[in-house]
Amino acid sequence: MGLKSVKFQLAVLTLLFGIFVVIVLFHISYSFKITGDQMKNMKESHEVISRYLVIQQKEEAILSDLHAFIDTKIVTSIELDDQLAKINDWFDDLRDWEKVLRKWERSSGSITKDIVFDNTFISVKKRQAEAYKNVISLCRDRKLNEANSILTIEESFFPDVNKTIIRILEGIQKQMDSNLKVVKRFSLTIGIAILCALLTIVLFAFVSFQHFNRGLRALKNGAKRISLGEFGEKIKIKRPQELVDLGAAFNEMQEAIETRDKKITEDREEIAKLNEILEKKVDDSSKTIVTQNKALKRKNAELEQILHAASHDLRTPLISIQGFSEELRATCEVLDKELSVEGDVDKNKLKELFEDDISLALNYIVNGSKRMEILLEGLLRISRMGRDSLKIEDIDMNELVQVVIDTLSIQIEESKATFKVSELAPCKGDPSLIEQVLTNLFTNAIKYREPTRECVIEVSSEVLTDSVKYTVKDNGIGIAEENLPKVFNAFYRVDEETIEGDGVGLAIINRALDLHNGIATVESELGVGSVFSFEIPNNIVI
Amino acid sequence: MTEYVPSLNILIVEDDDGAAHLIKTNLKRTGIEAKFIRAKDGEEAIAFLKSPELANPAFSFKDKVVVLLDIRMPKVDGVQVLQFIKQSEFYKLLPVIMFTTSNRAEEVRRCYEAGCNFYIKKEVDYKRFSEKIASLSAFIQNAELPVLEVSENV
Repeated sequence: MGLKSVKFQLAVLTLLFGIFVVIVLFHISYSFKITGDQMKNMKESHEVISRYLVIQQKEEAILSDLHAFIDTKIVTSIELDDQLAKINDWFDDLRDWEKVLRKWERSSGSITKDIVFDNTFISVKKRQAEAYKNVISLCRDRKLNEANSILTIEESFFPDVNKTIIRILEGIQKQMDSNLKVVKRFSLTIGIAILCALLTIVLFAFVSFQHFNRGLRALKNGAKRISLGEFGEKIKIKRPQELVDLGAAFNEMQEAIETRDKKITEDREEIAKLNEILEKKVDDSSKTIVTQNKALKRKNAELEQILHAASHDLRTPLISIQGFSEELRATCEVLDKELSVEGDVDKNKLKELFEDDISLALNYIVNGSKRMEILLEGLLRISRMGRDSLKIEDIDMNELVQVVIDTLSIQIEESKATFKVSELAPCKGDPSLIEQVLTNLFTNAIKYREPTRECVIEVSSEVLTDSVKYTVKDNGIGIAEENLPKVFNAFYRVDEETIEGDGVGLAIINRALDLHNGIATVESELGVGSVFSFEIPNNIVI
Repeated sequence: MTEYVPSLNILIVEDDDGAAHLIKTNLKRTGIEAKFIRAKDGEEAIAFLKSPELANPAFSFKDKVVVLLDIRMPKVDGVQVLQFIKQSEFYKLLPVIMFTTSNRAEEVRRCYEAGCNFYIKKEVDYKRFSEKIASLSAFIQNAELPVLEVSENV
């Protein structure tokens, strides 16, 4: 417990207050005692005085009686006896009074003793009593003159009552004065002491309060500061000890809050970062999903298109096959009829039937079935693609292009096409699929060449950020703008006359690039030529 | 001067030679009196409509024309031809009959929306194929066919 604690201060205050109370109580009791003593003294003084007055009266009565005896000169012995009794009685009273007096003198202190009634007073009175008795006996003997002279002498000794009383009162006065002085001095001391005590208490309390207030204000400001998130300052309280402790605890709390605050801020930042990452991931995944979804939808549509086209394109030759078969049957019936007719056979008619109807029908039937075979082959080629897993390898495109050109050498020779191949960048992919892509592009370029000019096919490459782009440019017949979106559809043919086309070439390119996550594009101008490009990404994600 | 009797021209737009031949044969069998003109694709069809006299020197604008259209064709498909006809002030009254292997609902709807007058499915079964051609012939013969000259004045 430090010297500066509130407890200590309270203890000091209580002690001071206790001392103060004790002093006051002491003072009060002392005052009471003094006044009580004085009252008692005064009572006794009053008794002394009043009894003395009674004795005085009795003595005066005795004196007047004695004077009467002497003056009248007629006195009975009974009266004298009676008078004698009165004198004895008075004297007894006097003795009693003396006792009271002594007692009073004792209690009021020795000061009055010498001043008021000394011992001679009583002895004088005793002698007087004897003189009065003597007067009585002289009266009995009728010596009245002698009695009168004694009486006159004794009367001269009669004390001055007033003087006596004044002296007693003066004594009392003196006594009271001295008492009062003591009380006054005492009161002054006590008053000063009380004042000092009160001043000390007030000062003490004020100082304590000031410290307390300052401490509380510091704490309040600290709390405000913390609520605003300012942790720089610390609370400094000098006293009282309790607030010093509280301040220390407060500072600890501040540190703890600061630490926690920092932690929370860090956590929040961490959470924000994580959230960002998460959002990015979600975003990426949703993007991927959207992309995949689009790809799926596209593939679905493509498949549907392939099916639809296939069913239509398969049905068309079937119509020819069935139709001409039926026609052939009808022709055969006609032939049968002609042959079964009796007589000459119209050779010209038969010849007509064979040359026109039968060979025509057979021709259509054969062509139709050929067409169907080509279509079915194409369908198979498309469906076969991607069934086996991709074999991704590093491909030297220069080499691969050369292989394809070599394979197509017959067609190239026939068409007198010229290939201009630039230095090509390598890529990663499935060589067999990329070979198909190149084969189809080259075949198309040759197939749709413009017969009036020399066929020139340029092959080049371009390295992009995430992929390699290969371009096959021809100077062929080109494709009308409105037909460009359809060229990659299966079974689409630009020109029906080119019968050998199965209509799946570009669809196969599309599919092969799809499997590589790549993309095929076409630009073309009717009569000028077409530019087919395909991009193969560096990182193939399957 | 005798009144001009307008002849009937049936424009068969069909990329498959065999199918075109069969259509013509079957139509002839129904006894319909008409001149048949064949277009191998949409491009040829439009070329004929623009200058019919190139394909048929006897063609007069007082003659009647019926268009028989396949849908899936190279270069310009049937729907494109249909749209060309129906969006043209000059040709829009020409009767257009879609005759195709597909009978997908959306395709049928697309054609009717584009303004075709009749939609017939090209059957693989030859007997039904012939029946369809017969009903087609009946439709053509019973229809009040406009002449191009009339539509020219509209």
